[in-house]
Amino acid sequence: MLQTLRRFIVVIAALPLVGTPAQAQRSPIVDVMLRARTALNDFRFAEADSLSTLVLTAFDRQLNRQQRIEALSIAAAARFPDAVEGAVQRRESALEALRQLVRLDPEIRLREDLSWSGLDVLLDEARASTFVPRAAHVAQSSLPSGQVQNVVTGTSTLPARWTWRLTPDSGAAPVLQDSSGPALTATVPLRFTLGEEASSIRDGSYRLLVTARNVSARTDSATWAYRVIVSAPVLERVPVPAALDPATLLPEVAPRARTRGVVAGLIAGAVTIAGTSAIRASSDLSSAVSVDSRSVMVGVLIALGAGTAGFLDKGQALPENAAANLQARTQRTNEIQAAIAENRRRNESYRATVTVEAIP
Amino acid sequence: MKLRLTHLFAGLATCLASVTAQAQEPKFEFRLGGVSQLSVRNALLASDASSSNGSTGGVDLGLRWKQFGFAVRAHGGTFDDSGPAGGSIGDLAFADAMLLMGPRVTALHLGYGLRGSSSVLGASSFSFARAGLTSAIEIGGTGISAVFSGGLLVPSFGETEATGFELETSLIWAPRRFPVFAQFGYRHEQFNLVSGDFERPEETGSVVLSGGLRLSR
Repeated sequence: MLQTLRRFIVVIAALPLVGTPAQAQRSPIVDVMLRARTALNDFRFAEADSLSTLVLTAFDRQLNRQQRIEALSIAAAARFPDAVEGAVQRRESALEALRQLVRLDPEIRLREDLSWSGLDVLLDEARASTFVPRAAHVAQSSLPSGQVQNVVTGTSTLPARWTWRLTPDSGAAPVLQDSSGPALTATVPLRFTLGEEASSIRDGSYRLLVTARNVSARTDSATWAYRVIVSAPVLERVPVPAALDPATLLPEVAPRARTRGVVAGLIAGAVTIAGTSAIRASSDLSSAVSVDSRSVMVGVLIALGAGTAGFLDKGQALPENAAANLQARTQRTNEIQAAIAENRRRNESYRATVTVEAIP
Repeated sequence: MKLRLTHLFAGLATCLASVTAQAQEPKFEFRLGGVSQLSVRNALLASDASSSNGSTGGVDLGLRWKQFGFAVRAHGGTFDDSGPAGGSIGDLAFADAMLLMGPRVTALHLGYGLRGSSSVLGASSFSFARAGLTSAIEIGGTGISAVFSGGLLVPSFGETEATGFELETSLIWAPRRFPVFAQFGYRHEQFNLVSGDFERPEETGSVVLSGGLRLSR
């Protein structure tokens, strides 16, 4: 009953491959595949194996992915059939076919009409012992300054040592060379900054090589090559004014007034004393009455007072200069802050474009 | 004597200019205070010289805005006359008003003055016009200024013609943090009064003390 049902399913599944007789004649692959599947269905496992192997060897270059999976599946099923009368199980040979299937698709599941529990176990064994690394890349990304973009993500069925190297097309030394693992996954990060950081990529064209190496079998490895184009035009920044030169500021305190105090005191004292004697009303009066002698004492006191004030002076505050300096400092500070803010805005809105193309 | 005074003022102005190059002036200043003068007054009347001591008190008002200013001083007091009247008591009254033009360091002043006296000899008064220079030199940031003022006194209205000179020097202390001022100085003025055939030279020297409210900005 089970065999009858399986046969029915095989026939239904083969219909798209068979097509019309004319189409079958135009596609020998389909014809051989149909014969292999029929042989398998009729328990002619050796014939089915031969036909599927024929497809894989004779039409290797013409097979598309789906046809290759189909041929390998039939081969695996023919080499390790269910325990029916007269069936010969060639475990290692089937395992090899299953490994090739896993390399095509690590997540592959055999179709129900081809599979049975023993073959599923063998597929799991093939999956566990087959090194299948894969890499996927982000075709285009837009990076703000300082941000990291994982441009390539690698996955593997077995722990692998991942290495990558980013080399400028100009032939200069690699700008990025790193590794990770052993691990089942790895990412290749590219970092872009507007500054002069060594770890940052620059505007230009690069070649990226990513290699996954099976840690349990050193010779088992895979390499992917990519062309990486970084478009990072120069960011035009607003020039930030320099801090105010203290030499350009006005003095906020006048020089000490020692000289002024002494000179003013001497003048005031001398004028007080001499002026009183010089300005007399008339010769008759000046001869009759002496000049007021207190002028001498007052003159001396004025001279001493002014001179002492000059010596004690610490400099006159110049509030207008201080206000002008404050205004100049404030204005310069505002100019600097405005320039910094504008540059920050430009930095934040800046984006570098990273384009990644796989090289076959 | 006029020539000597002219030279004195010219030299004084030159010195002031040399030491006040960086003076910072307030734009506005208001001053109101009391003034007290301890004076000695000498006069010659009919070939007899007399000398009297006295004290006067009054008010001193000043207002200044930028390059212009106005000042009024009015005070009066009593003098003991030791002259021919032989120790009689006389009253004196002073009033002066001045317009100031120019910076504080060297300002031209024009004004008008009144003097009046009364004693046992009778009452008299005269007025005069005045013109001269006033200079205030700030000594750094101490708040102390040295003030010089000198001028010519010329006849004005009235029967008595008064001519003469005046000279005043003082120190003014006006702290920046407090709206007050104090002044100490000396004032000397000399007149030659002519009224008809009558001529009387006189001079007054006074120690000046004043103080009061001062607002500036």
